[in-house]
Amino acid sequence: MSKQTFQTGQMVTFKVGSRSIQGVVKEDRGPIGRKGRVLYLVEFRREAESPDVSRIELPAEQLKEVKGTVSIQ
Amino acid sequence: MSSESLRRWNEVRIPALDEIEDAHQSVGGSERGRRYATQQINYAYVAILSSQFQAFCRDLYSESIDYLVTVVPAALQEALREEFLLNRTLDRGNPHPGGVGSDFNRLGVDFWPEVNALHASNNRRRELLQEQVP
Repeated sequence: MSKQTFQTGQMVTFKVGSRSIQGVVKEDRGPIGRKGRVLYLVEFRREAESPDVSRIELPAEQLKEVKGTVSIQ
Repeated sequence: MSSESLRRWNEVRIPALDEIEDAHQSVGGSERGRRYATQQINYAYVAILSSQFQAFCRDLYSESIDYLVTVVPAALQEALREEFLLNRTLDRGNPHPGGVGSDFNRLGVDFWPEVNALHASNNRRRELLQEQVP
């Protein structure tokens, strides 16, 4: 299980198929996932210019920190 | 299978509700002001109970998704996670029975009939939930 933690407002990336998508952590949902793993609510846009914001809840091991960015919260 | 959401309900949310009950009991005396004070605590209790129940249902839903997605191929898991969160009623408004039912129905269960079948009191509990969060 991943030991990495993320803060609300932090930029992250995650994989959808072969694509890497960037999003923002909106909420630490706590250790409510399978076998107590921590889930994070992440908001993202499927296309950079899209006005539609999508949301997904992912475990820490599927998220990667975006280096060199600051929290937008 | 143990549930993390249920553990959080038992170990965090119920104690938080118990604190409100304790506050109610600690407002002693027989003056007219006590009745007003306890009434305000009752209002607060209903609001907090609704909030804690909504949070529990939301946790349970998220936990369920995290289990369900493991049975589909990895390439489809993220799309399924996103789909299950789309327009989740538990993310907004009160946890009224219709919203709770429609969310969990999306996970492939016939929610209220199955809940009612688990215990004879559950149908009445659903009615009380409807009264609490119209």
